Amino acid sequence: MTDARIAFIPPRFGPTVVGGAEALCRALAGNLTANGTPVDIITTCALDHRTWADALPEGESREGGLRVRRFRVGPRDAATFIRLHGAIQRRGTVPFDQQVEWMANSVWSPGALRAAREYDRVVVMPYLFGTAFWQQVADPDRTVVIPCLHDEPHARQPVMLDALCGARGVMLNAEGEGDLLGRLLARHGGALRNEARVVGCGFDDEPVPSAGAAQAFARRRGLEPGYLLYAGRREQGKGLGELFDHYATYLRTAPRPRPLALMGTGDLAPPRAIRDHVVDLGFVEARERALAYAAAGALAQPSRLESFGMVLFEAWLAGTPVLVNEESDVMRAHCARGGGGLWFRDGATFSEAAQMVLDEPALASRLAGAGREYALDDFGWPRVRARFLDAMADWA
Amino acid sequence: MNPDIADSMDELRRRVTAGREAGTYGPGDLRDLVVPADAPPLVRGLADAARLAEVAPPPRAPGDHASGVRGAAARAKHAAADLARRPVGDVAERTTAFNLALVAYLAELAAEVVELRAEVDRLSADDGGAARGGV
Repeated sequence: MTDARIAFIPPRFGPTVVGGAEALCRALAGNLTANGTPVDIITTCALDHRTWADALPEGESREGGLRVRRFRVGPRDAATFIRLHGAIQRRGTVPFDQQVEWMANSVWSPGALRAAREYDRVVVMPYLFGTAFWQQVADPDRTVVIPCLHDEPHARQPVMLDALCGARGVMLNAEGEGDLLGRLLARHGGALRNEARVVGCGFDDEPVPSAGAAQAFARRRGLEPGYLLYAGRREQGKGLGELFDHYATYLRTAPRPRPLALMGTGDLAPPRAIRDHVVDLGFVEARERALAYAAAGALAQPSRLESFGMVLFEAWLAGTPVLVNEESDVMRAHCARGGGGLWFRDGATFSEAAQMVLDEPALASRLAGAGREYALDDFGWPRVRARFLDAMADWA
Repeated sequence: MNPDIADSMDELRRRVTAGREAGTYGPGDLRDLVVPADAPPLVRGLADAARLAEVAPPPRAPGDHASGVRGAAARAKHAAADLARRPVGDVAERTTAFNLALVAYLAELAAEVVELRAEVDRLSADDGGAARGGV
């Protein structure tokens, strides 16, 4: 517990808002508030991350036990933002003045900036939005950042790293994100005011679903338990195209290939060569999601751009091992430290890793057990709360 | 690293390396090259250097599996071209990167020589056995 008045500032907030940083914000703020450290939410009136149109009225409400204060989005030129955002993606960088212009036209809110002054500490997230950037620039002493970094050109812009270095503190989601931040800062030539701390998201000690319930779920969906599972948005940015390629290699080389089940929404369809082996689970309700993980033989997570890797933890808590993309510092570090999965870098390593985990029950069981232990030991809510409050106290 | 994962990843690399067709490994696989203990010192040294270098592979289109010496030469050329396209900023960095790409290329060639020599030895032994059996 702390006496400091704390607010979290995500760019948008609400039960229909989907996104890793938003989910982290909701879970962390909710858990802290429920355990004696009240946290307010300061956010914009927007819900759509493409238009940032004000969709909700300005004002105050209570949502899920949290006090939520919404403010209008400030004036911005969306076309300029999109042009510069794309230029950074394509060219790697743009001149410094254009980096500032890029952030000047990102989503921000003058009302949110004013409201933040009423608090002792404000925690902004994620790094890529004007709501976080301008709060860091306007009031660095008061501001702690949960950047949710990805290894992408936008995170390498000097304007971003300068802002991050000025903030009072930086909270990371995982050790692997710290490796990435270290590389970015070494290249930039800057240093943080205070050493970054890993806080992350927390989980409750829910029991592993029973084998019978998992089997019943699989059968309802026309599957036998032990399939390979992908969970997340179906888009190229999440690495799903690469997973399809790797799965094709697996189909060619595995003596007894298992089907690939896709859980989540999106437009990316499997290519013809593997289509007969892919099962579409579509959007799976939260209450059934643990069963989808539990019935799987392994979760395959091909994304490079993860700052935490929530789906790994969901799989481990359901008793399922994981296969992750070697190029993701965060997910590889989770597996290397916790022991809950193997990593791949191409079709051949994916195929061998999948065969090892899916066809060797003793190995799969060891990996799944180690993953669950890691999730609950390192990311159980009591540990996460303690790390958050310790960091706040040390940065007082 | 979790010791069970270290063992499992070693086993995974061993299986992948064993399953590759000769000459189809890419620069990223150099770290995992299995060089026989009795290979000439130069070969072992080059393989070690390549592992230490961890050369970034040149961009390859999906499905591009140029193999053998021709593939290695093509990859070395790609790497050199890629380096030449970078802005002239840090000459030392570019030189080092080029040298590392060259070491990786030589290591690939050396490893292939080892494999070819082993194949020749095996075929020679088979030949000898057949000849003796015929006498």
